[in-house]
Amino acid sequence: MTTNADSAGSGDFVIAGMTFHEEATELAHWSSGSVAAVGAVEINIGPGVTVTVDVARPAQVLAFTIQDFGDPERLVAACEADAQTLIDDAMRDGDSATTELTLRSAWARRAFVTGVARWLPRPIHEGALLLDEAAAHQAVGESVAAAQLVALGLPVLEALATDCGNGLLSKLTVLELADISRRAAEAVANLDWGNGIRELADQIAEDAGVSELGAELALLQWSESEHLAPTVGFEGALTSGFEGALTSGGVTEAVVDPAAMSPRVVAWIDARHPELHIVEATDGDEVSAELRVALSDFVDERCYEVGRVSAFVADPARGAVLRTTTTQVEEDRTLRADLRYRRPPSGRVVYGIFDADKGVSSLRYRNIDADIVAIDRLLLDAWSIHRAALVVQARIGELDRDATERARARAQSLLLGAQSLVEDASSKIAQLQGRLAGSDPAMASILAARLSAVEHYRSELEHGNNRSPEYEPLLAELLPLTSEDGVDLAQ
Amino acid sequence: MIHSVPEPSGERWWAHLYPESAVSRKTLTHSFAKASQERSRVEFRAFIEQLNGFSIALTKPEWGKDEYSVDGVRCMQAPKEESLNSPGWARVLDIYGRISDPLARYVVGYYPRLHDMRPRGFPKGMMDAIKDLARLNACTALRTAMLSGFSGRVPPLFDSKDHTAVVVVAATVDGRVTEADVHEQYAVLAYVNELSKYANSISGTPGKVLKSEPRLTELDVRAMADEIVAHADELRTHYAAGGPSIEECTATADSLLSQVDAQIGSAAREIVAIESAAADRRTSPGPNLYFLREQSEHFAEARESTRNELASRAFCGDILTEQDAAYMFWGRVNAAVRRERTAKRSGTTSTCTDDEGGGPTAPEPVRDSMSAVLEKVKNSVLDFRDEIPGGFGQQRNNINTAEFDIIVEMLDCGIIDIHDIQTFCKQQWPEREPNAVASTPRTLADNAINTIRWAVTRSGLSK
Repeated sequence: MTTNADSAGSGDFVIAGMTFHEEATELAHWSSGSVAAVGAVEINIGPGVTVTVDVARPAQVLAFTIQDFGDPERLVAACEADAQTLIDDAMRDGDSATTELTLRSAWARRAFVTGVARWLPRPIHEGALLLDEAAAHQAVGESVAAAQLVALGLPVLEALATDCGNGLLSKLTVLELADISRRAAEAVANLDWGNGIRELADQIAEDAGVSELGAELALLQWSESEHLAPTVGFEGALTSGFEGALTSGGVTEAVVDPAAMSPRVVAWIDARHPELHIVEATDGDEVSAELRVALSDFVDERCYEVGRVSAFVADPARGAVLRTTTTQVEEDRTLRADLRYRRPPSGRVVYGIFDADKGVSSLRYRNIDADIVAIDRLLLDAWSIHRAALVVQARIGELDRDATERARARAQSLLLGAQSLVEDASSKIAQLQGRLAGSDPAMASILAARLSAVEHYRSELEHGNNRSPEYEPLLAELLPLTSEDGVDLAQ
Repeated sequence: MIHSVPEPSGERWWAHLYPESAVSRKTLTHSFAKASQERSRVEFRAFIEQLNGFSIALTKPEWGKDEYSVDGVRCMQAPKEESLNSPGWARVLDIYGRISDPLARYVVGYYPRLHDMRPRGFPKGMMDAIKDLARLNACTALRTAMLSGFSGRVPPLFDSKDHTAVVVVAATVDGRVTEADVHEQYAVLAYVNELSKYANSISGTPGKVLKSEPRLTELDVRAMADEIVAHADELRTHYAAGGPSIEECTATADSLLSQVDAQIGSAAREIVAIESAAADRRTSPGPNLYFLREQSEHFAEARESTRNELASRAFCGDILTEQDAAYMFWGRVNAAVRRERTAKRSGTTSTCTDDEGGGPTAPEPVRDSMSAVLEKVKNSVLDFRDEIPGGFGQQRNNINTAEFDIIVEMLDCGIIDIHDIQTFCKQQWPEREPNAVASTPRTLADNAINTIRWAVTRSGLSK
């Protein structure tokens, strides 16, 4: 994400809302040979300089691209000290003997925050995420983008300052909030409302200083978020045996593909739980299907993202979409879509939903895709439970002895759950790779790269390696959540 | 007339909280709020803020001090984290239970109504922010106004024990507060003002925010700010019309507009001066004239809308200056100019301009190179039709999909602006529907937009 001042130049033109460069060519492209285990995140380091990392390992550069209008020095500055040689090699030969390139901590954090916003399937505090994003931009010197995000998240910051004054936040959360509000104040120091943010930041810092929140209050808050966990479905993830989509008697179930839309818009139970319910009525070859999906309890039904959810039905054999349509929000916070189409000769169809901004090019509905989507979902689920374990671990410092033990046990059980999902994904990839080795060698080699990345992630999970600062919990992960029906409680 | 503050349902349901050892106000308030929550659920974070607010305000009037007792007042005035072992805590809890709790619940009761009035279509994080404006800011504004008496229109809430008792009984027992109309109107205006302030902060930052996926879609933050202002203006018109003392506030607003009026006058004189200078051929009318004229078209509308905002903010007790008025006025004028320019952008391309300085939009890329690019893109659509995502390039029953045909046509005619694509798809829908994969004109436009983007990339042009 660059600031707007950087992006447009001569030779730029806009087609269908997207900016393109007419003459731009790639100056350099480098790939480490590794792929993302969990979710690929692409960020702009500067104009024309893009870096790809895995959200589960945000410091490790998987690939970078430098366009001819991009400045390689921006990339050098964003990486650890030994980057110069590698980048020079890549610019000269398009290749390098070295395979490791590491982002500096602030840039890794910046990529990580973007990755959480994009990929995390379980609910987080969406408003506070704006503040996390602002702080991440500010820390890498992108203060224009940071100031915009602070403005968008301003009421949330004020509300959190109020909660903080009322003693509703735990010490850990207040410390993170203090850090973020300091960055926010930096970002808007030159704006006419900047002073107000400085005062807010000072007040929070003061509260953080005196907040000798007895273990009692911290515990209260901690058990409140624990109380949420069942609705968020960690237990379900470990026990559910449901596998893939089912069809029986005109009723079909299908899963959301996280590549086609933000998974947090819908109520995510776990990787194996299908979110979509479809009822079909047929008249000869004409099918009329009603698709329903429950919205997340933690997302406002009037938000932009919900409005952009579209539904599709496709013919996997022919590789063609049969119908796309918009969705409507129903009384019970479900999304509904009516799809009318002609049943294809093969008789098989795939249903799904997607973000209209991403469009049908993001859809995966071919025969092999069901397995790939299932693998992606397992890994996102595992990573999301891993994140929850890190949040619990981070809290341990502020708990009393009894609670500490319970927290340790809980973190441990979450980590084991995450590991077992990763193992599951790993064996699925191996199976699929075996099946495709003869018929589709290109796909098989992509799967081989994925498998090695997943194995690496598994060993990190087992050894608890990733405690780097950029991977610390976000404010959006630490805060207790209020569900949308919480509004009714005020009456 | 009731002469003492009642104890709801005659029992002290908070009695088990009377502390036996040292405790801080923060902890005790927290325990109280929890206990209250168990009796009847309430939005916790909003409730505790109003509970604190009313309780602290009650340490000010003499009768409040008497209720608290000297020890109780001392407890309330100590730093909120300080642990005290004091008999005052029991009095504090009694006041919480008898007075602050019902009042806090009454105020927080406006939150769901305000939340229902929220605008739609903003990203989920912003919707959280907008929710907080109803949940905290507007409720707090209502509490503050109840305590101060709405600029003299009704007696301040805590001016006497009797008055407080009447309101508390009304809020708890029959649920009908005499001043509810004033409260309701005020709560809506306070919410509307919070929305306007939010929009002002957003439009005070330059430019656009890119969504989490780089280079895919940009959110124009200033366009979003405009939408929030428009929504706020609509709510204001709908709910604030006909209020009793709005006239006085309008008079205040008029007096605050004198600087704006002077600026409008001098802009008009400047236009005349440049025009007559140009007519005398002494100088050519530069971009400055063009921009001034563009602005002046929106003066009347912006003045009216600024006047309304000033009046309703004055009504809510905000102290405003002529400078604030000028800031609000020019913000509206420039937003309207921006909106109009966006709407005017027709079939030709537009560039991503930063119109901070307010000058005419930056020159567009040469048409010729654009036509060449579009030709290239169209050829990609035709040559690689089998690769088009979604299979839109495949024929169905030997007929092209409507998506395929309309994309080729639009590229031929240079219809590539998102707004134009949407309009064209809507116009064409009746005849396109039979062969469309999409089942609504909006999805047809979505399919077309995304396919065109794909084709641009497929023709080797880089993002």
